[in-house]
Amino acid sequence: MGKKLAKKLGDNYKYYYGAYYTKYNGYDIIIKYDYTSLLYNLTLNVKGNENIDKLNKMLSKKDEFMVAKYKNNLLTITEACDHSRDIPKLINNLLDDLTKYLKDNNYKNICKLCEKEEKTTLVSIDDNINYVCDKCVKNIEKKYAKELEDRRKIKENIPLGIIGSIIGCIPGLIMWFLLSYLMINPSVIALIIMFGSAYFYRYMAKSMKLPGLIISILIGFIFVLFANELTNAYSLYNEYINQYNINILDTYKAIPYYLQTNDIFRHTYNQNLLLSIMFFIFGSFTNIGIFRSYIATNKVKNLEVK
Amino acid sequence: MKKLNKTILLLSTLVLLSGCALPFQSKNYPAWTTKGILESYTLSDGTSIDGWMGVNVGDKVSTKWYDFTANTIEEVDSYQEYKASDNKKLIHVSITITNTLEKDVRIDDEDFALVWDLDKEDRSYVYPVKDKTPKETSIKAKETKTIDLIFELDKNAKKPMAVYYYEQYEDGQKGNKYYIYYK
Repeated sequence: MGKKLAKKLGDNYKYYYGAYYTKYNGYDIIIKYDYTSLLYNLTLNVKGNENIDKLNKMLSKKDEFMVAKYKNNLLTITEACDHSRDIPKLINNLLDDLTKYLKDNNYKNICKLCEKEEKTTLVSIDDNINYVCDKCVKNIEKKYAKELEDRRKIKENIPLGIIGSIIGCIPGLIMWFLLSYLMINPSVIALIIMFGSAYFYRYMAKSMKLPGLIISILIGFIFVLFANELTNAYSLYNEYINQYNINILDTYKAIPYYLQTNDIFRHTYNQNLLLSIMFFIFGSFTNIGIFRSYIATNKVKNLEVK
Repeated sequence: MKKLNKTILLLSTLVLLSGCALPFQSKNYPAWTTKGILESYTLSDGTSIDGWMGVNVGDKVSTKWYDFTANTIEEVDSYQEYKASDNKKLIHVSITITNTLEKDVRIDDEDFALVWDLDKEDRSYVYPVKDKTPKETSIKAKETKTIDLIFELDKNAKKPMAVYYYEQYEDGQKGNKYYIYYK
């Protein structure tokens, strides 16, 4: 689709996370296709007359299913489009007339944040991409720098963080055991364990730097392993309680023996362990996310700088 | 930097501890005690055969002819001046037997054995030391007697072990097996 769009736009467009960003005839334009509703949305940050009946009339001449909405300085044009490959054709047919209309009717291109008529740049702020003026970018960068500096100054209380991380894992452990009891594969709870480990570490330690990241991930990992052991111990317990005088601790200690001697048990154990580790890896992104919030310096990215 | 070193030390300790506890706690045979005789079946004459039962020291075992309880199972340096030979060790077992029949019963010195490598198909075993165990012990009807058994076995043999008794009927038919675990 990009190549076809380029016929109209030249090389003057960017593609990020499923959306096209371009400046055309002095207007910032974002085009996104929605695969669920089979529509594309074309949005512009413009300030002007709130009545857009004339624009809608013009659009309906092109396509009776094309609609424009204007609210809070955001002009959105929506058109049905069965396949994303059809977008270039529809867009190329629209861009000139649309921008001419906006110009003729004195709609001003504005910054997404301050809503002032300023020169804009395409930037990513906390992974939200939009056209923002330089002044706003500088303000945000300043704000983030101060925030980071403040966070850097917070002393990380590692012992309390460890306690917090352990406490944070316990609800997940209980949920894990409950799901096992209900005979539902509980591996997905690894996400909750990691979440608890990360958030409670930060809550108790008041910060999360590199040691905090490693500790919280390690504690979460131990809990995920332990929870997995517990599930397997419980399944052994259920299987043998009618024949032997045993408790969960007995079956927990017997896991290595059954791993060596029972193929079905070994297979189930490995499968559960693999799933748990997979969800542990996904879950550890929470820890990394929190860690990044304390060290990240690239929250604002200028996407027009090559 | 010192802080980082401390953290690394702390983490290493955590990793080591976790390695000890999870998930490879022990490779020993679990030696769980059973709720009665397992895997047995009953013949038309009511005889239960081919089953097995695991109990702990101090638990009473009821067999076809008598009840018995292992009072103690312990490793000893010597027994009645008898010492283990090189690369061997001695295990002393005290068993109290009650004859539950209306007639006398005989206990042979090879009625009980000590087995180990319980998790293997071919388990290792020894019978009691000949000179230190009576060849035959007679127990009168309803009488209770305590006998001592001394086993000499490889020094490297590891727990869990079990004192083993296998019912054998006069017609050669084998009954159930009984294990008294030494953990």
